[in-house]
Amino acid sequence: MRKVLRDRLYKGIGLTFLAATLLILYAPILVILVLSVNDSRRGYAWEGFTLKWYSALFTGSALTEPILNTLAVAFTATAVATVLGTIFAIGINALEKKRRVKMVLLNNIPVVNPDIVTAISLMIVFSLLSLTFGFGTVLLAHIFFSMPYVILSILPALRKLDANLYEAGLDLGCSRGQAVTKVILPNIATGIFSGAMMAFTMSIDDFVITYFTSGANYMNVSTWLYSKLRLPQAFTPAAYAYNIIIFAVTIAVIVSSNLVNVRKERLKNEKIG
Amino acid sequence: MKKSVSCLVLLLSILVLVGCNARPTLHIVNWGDYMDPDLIAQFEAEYHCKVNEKIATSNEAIASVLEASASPYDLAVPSEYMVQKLIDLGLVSPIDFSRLEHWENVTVFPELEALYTPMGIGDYVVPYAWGTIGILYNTQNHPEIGTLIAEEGWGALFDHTQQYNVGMYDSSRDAVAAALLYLGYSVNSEDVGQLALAEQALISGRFSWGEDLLRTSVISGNLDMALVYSGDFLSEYYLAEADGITIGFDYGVPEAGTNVWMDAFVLCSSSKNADLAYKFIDFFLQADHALPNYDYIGYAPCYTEYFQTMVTDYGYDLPVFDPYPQAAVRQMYVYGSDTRSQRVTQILANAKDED
Amino acid sequence: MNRLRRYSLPYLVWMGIFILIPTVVLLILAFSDLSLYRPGTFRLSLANFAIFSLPTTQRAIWNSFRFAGIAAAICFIIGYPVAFYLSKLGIRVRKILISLLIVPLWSNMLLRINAWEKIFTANSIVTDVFGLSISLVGTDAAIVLGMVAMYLPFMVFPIFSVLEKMDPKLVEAARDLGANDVQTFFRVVFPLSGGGVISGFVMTFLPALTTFVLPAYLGLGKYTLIGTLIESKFIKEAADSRALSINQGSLISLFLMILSITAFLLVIRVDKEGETLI
Repeated sequence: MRKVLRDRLYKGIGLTFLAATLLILYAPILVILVLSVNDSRRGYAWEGFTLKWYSALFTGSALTEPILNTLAVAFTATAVATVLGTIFAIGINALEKKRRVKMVLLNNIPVVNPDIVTAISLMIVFSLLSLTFGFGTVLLAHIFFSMPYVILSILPALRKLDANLYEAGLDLGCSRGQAVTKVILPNIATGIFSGAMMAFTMSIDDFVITYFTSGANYMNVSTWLYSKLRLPQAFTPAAYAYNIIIFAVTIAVIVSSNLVNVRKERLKNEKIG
Repeated sequence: MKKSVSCLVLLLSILVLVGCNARPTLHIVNWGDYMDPDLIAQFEAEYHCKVNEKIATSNEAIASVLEASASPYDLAVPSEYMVQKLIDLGLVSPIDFSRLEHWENVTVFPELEALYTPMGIGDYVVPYAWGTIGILYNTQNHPEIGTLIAEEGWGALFDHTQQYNVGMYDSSRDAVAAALLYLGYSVNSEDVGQLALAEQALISGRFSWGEDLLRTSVISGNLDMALVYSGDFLSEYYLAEADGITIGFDYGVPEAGTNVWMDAFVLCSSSKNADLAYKFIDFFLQADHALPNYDYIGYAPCYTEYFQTMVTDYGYDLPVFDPYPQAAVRQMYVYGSDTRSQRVTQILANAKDED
Repeated sequence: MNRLRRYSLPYLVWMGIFILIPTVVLLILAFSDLSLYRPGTFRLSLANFAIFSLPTTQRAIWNSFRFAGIAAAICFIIGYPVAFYLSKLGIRVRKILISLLIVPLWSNMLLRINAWEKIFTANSIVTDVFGLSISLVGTDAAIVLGMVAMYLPFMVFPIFSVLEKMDPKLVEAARDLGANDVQTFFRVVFPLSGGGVISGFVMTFLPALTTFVLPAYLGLGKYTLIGTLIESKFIKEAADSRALSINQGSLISLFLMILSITAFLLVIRVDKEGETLI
């Protein structure tokens, strides 16, 4: 009896803290939702319901360019970081233990470093190479800071993989490239996918690193917001609408991937049963 | 696998192409909300180019952006004192006025010209807009602040920070100038003792600090008053008027006088598109574009003709729209010594600290 | 397998370019009067250290540590029970709840901070719609709460990933040996989750310590933090090379680098492969 009560107490505490966490995380999104349907440019007060900011998003607004810029960098950086990250991860995994640990340590430096330090380091390198700041420098920067996450999420999958599989593939007549693509890659696909998701998440929401490396030519949604959020005329609440749409898409992706998983599990169970 | 790789490569190249731009690009460092985007779009269409605006929030930031050699800028719109510094740093080139077709048709306010010509910047600037610094206050919660400004001048801002929530502009020149004006000194004072007193005034007041944040805060009632630029008030005023929202704020300039500033086009020495840059300046000198643009930004034109039209045809009849009324006391910033600049930056840092 | 090793070589070069070079340049900038934008002759000197004697800098450092420290502690107090609770749930529910913690991170951080600014403002749209009137903008509390709201998930994830992997047999063994719940937790579970806790502290404390957007929005500009200082040295005051702004900024960045290396050493003591970092 006492145990039941105690379990209930623990559960209650856990639930309360979880509820508090969700409240803290979702309160601002609720506010953004309200602002996105508020019929006011400035958002000082509630002026009535409207969907015009959503339609403004699709008919073209000052935000169109920053949004396209953000997506272009996010997709490109994710693709490059995932491909290169996978190759590097396979290489790192093949090293003997001492060296591997050292490489992983090196890989983790940008993960732990605060954004602003990474940003300034990159800015200095780009200045020294006298690159023109813009799309190119931002892309390089995003590839740089998202790749460690890709490597970090692929390495555990690689370690689970039997090292002999690759050799076996070679023995069975695969070329070296085939051994990688046919033996290793399929086995670490989940790791690659979650690494790509991490890279994309990092890139699409980045502000600090883009702010320091973008110069004259490039603006993403975050840097656009930083310069326009306070301006009565240049700012448009379409930014709130954009955010809500991204939010909805994320939810949809997660729900559907969960549903797919459930269906897969069910299929598996049926086969077994 | 090969297929997906080639798809990826294709996607990459498309995205890279999207990122590039074949049209010539004009790079401007500008203040926020300081040029009508529709007119810029019109310019882009007419001259088949792309205009890239980089927003800065202070003159010091404009100079920093130009100094960072990594980005080639063509034009900037700094204030008069910073132009002096930019000339000094070799970051701007003299203007060839003969390349501006519409320069002939406009007349700079003589009292304005008399202020900036002695500064030696006349050959480098095409004036854009001018205005004052003053006190924006919330009339809904505190209508009495208007009387306070009339009676106590700058003291309204400095002597009542216990009673009111007061915002101070997060720009070293302006904050220190307000303090110097409050003490009755010149805004350009280099006197160590006077600067120390100004620092004291800024430290002992309990201020909130911000840039564009200040006006939003005063209007929404989170601050009671704040030091702002005249245009901060004017643009909010006419925007609220256009939207039919009740106007619960006003702008006061102390009787004792204030700073008058001028923002002007300068040609960056790093410019690779000088031709396009001249066309851009000229575009905004032309009445067809200048007038709707001044209506958009809400700041006073530096040209007598346009100023008159704004007052008569566009309804800009508020007295504070005129930066330099007859018999008013106005001072313009000069860059002064580097020691002073550093001292002023330091004063701001110390003042923001004392909380 | 060994043939695959060479794949890691380009990565070493890549990291060298982006980590080693800037560190060397930062060192030179910090200990000299070299101008980043107009490089020429320079003299090594310790003059830039004067920045640390200014009350502004000292206060910025003190405030940053105070706010980030309190925020990380609050994140820990809320985050640990959440991670613990999540690790006890069935896999399906657990997956959904973890996703729910990730989803808000996809919302733009600036907009989320902007939303908090409105929540913490006495007279705003939040007052109109939800009837809430909280006046916190411009106070310590607003900044700390904002930090908690931004970085809390980064405390939950690493702790959760450690707890999730923990062998339940350890807890059973402790029980069998006569430990009660409290003893089991403090003697077995908590020490074993230490790696996650340390990673969690690093991943919340460091970003909170270096933010410059948050104090500008939620602090009404009343607080200068380390991030604010670096932003103004590199972006806002960088024009006058005689003022050595960039050199001073580099010195402060170097100070942050040393901090993050310390944090890094802490993390690798408990987690060599960085598994708790994501």
